[in-house]
Amino acid sequence: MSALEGLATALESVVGNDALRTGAEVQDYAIDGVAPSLVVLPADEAQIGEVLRLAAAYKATVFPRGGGSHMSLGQPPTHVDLVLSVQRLQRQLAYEPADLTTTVQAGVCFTELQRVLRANGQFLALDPPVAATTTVGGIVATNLSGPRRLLYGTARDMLLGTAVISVDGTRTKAGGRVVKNVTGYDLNKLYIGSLGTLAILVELTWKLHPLPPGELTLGFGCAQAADLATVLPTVLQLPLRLSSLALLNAAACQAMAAQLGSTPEEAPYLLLVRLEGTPAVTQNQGQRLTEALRRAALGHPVTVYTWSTPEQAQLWEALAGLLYCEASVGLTPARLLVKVSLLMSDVPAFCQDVETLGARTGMAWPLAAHAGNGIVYVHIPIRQPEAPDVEQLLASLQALDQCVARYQGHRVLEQAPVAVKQHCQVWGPCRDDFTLMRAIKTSFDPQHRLNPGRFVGGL
Amino acid sequence: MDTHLLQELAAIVAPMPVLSTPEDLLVYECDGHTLDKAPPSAVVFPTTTEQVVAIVKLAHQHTIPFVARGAGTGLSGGALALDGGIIIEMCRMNKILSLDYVNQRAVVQPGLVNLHLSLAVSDAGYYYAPDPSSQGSCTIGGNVAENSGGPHTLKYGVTTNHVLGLEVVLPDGTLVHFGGATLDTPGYDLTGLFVGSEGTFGIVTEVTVRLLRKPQAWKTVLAFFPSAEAASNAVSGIIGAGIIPGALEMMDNLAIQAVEAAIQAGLPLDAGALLLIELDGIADGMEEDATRIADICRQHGCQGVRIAQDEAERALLWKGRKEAFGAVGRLSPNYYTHDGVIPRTRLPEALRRLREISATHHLRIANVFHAGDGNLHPLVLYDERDTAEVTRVLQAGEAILRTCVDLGGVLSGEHGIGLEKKNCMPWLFSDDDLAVMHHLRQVFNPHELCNPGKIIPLRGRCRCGAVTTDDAVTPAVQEAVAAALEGAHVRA
Repeated sequence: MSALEGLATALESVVGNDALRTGAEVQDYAIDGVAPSLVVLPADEAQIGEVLRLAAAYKATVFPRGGGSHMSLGQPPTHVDLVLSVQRLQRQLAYEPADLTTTVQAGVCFTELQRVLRANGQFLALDPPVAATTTVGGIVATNLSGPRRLLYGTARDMLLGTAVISVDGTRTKAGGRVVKNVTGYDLNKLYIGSLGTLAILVELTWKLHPLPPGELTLGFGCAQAADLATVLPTVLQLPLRLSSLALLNAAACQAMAAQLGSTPEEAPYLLLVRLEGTPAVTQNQGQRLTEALRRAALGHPVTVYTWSTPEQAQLWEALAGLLYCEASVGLTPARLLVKVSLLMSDVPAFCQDVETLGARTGMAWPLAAHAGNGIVYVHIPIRQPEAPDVEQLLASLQALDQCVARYQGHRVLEQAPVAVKQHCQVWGPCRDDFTLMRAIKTSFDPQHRLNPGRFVGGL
Repeated sequence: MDTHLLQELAAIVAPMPVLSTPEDLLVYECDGHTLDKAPPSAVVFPTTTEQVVAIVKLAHQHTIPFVARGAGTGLSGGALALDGGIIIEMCRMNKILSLDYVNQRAVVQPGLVNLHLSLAVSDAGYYYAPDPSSQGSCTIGGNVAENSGGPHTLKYGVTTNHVLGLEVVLPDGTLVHFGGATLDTPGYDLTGLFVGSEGTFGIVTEVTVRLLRKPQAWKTVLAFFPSAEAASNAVSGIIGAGIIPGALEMMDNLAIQAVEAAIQAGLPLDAGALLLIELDGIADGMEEDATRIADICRQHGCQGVRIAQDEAERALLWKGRKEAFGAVGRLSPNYYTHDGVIPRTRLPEALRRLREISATHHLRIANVFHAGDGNLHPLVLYDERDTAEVTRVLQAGEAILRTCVDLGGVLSGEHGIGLEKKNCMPWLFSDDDLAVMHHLRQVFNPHELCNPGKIIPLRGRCRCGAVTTDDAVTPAVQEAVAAALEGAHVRA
């Protein structure tokens, strides 16, 4: 402990007393219930470098943090020496609207950045479920995405350049500030989704998109999962400017009932289709889509739902709320949130499997999917969140895993009680590329001091 | 090469031959970048993944460098076998292994020609989006290595945005799989890291790619401007207005003249520059976008607009663009292509500086490029028989790349660094930046046997102080350059 006291003193001399949390204050920064010994909030890159050099000297483990909204993602840590927050790095360093690019510091708040970009008729085409505090650095580290990924892709399709501070305090950069670039290895890809295990992200350059001239969301109710096997490809193969294709089962609809308003529960599956274009274009497209689905050979005809423009926006917000994996300290999750990745064509059958699995536990499992991408979020409800039955939850997860394996898919347990996470592989089983992943980790962080034990395979 | 080793190689790939005579190897001494030459010691043609594994294991065991080669259309010397290594020619592994239209996926072997994939899925209504100008001959494996682009990458992205999974033979012969047909594979994105690693991380033996639905409609527009500056401003105007066309290409006057002489497309020879603008996607709203684009062009001094009336005319307009490099070959015996990228808004300044470089070095420079991306392709015209001119070409090339870096850009948008530009890397990257890249390469390729001597200038620059092949190859490369300058044919 005295060693860490020494570190605290040294850190204080670098960042000042205001930017160091010790004692009881660190409770707010607990990760999966494990409070750090120290929390440091450096003001700039130079201080981050100094902090990392000191952490190295004291052999302290370092847990990078943005806004803190998604800190529960990953395997629970065993002990936490130092939480390093980049939240004070909040500057937009460059923004040339005509280039459709911007360079920001990692601690920039995502919603605030979108506000600035929107004022110029542009946006960063990511729409993950976020909190008000979520930072762009955090979004990159966790590779968050949302329903618009169907049209715009994910961070890997938009991140043009990065600067990081390595575990030894050295600042390095990769990529650039232009939209097309093959100059050197594409380290951007490596940092995306690396959960802070390789280096501390400090600067990000993004490719931006113009805001669509308008949007229209339509709902289609399907009476049976089997019909989805016809409905999904029909929607995806029509010539539409389709930005999102969300699929909800009845239990998920129920969870969103307030926002869905008049949506009747008799449709076991609800498809939310979002189109982009001028109002004339989206109306026209919506009409054609509706006609095509009415013509499709289905067991039961689809039910068509429409909403007012404000209601449409609320719907997508509600979906984000459903998929948000909170990390609030002390919060007891009321569900396991599992992100499953499948081929789109396997989604209908998988939906049916989830119904069966839920029925076996005597509870309906809410399911919400970015169906066009084959990304399915399954919720396994917890009967008594205050005293979860860990054995039973693990059994449910195992049953789901077997099902995912049948489709050769994979899954990440995005949210769960710590006791559950401690007894399962949050990131699923390792594959034949794991040896290489471990070697890469070791190359960047030889002593495994950055976010240790939290990532795939215990990296 | 040692006869015994040649026999072992032959046993692996039998009944395919192993090339090892000087006359056979001549073809493989360079790729599309012809200023550097280095003959391999042997060329093998594997037909299966197992054979690639066996070849790589053999090379690893005997510490022989090796490099995978596709069609050899690369423009940065990426497929050169330095240190007398083995070339593993992947062109016989050219099958489409599976097509899944519902999920818009294809699994292909690396030797498959880019265009052949799009042709194979065309009747079903699909295509493979990355479309390098060499797509009629370049291979998907080569595209993966170089992270190739093309005119339509402005809207649809480059190779990395369309590759979902890879099967890779690592430099020690281990077979691994990255990513796959499903998205967001947990763990590091090794697929994304591998794409664009220019053959230095291993050899790809299978590629899972995304197929796209063919656009419902196209609108192809040619707009003529009095100057390249006016055309550049129109480019910024179009993008700034929130319109992202499928392609947005520019040709300057010199390029227009060459193309017109070659294919007689009816281009106005007095135009300072032209923009080839292609809208694609859904038919709804396309007419409005085309009108807006025409308005923006007129605001920037556009002298005339020509809209393709049918598929034949569209094909003709694109023929002019796709064959422009070849057409420029009419203007001089040789040319040297650069590939720097700048922020779009700096185009007018970049083109002004290119004109200055042209004047200072007494060289003609034609520009045919991806204006929407800010990806320049200055073609420096010269005659290789004039050694003084060749020296000026190299100096001008350096000045061009310096300009790109000065304007906030990078060295290469789609051709790669390879051997050609590796010594320019320190203009953009610090020793520390390069050290990270080098350490990463050592994870994949610890003995630097797999495509050695590319991308990173190691000599005296790397803090890790590793023994590198760089020192060994430099004389060979110098020799090769000398040979090139002494009248070896530089492809036009």
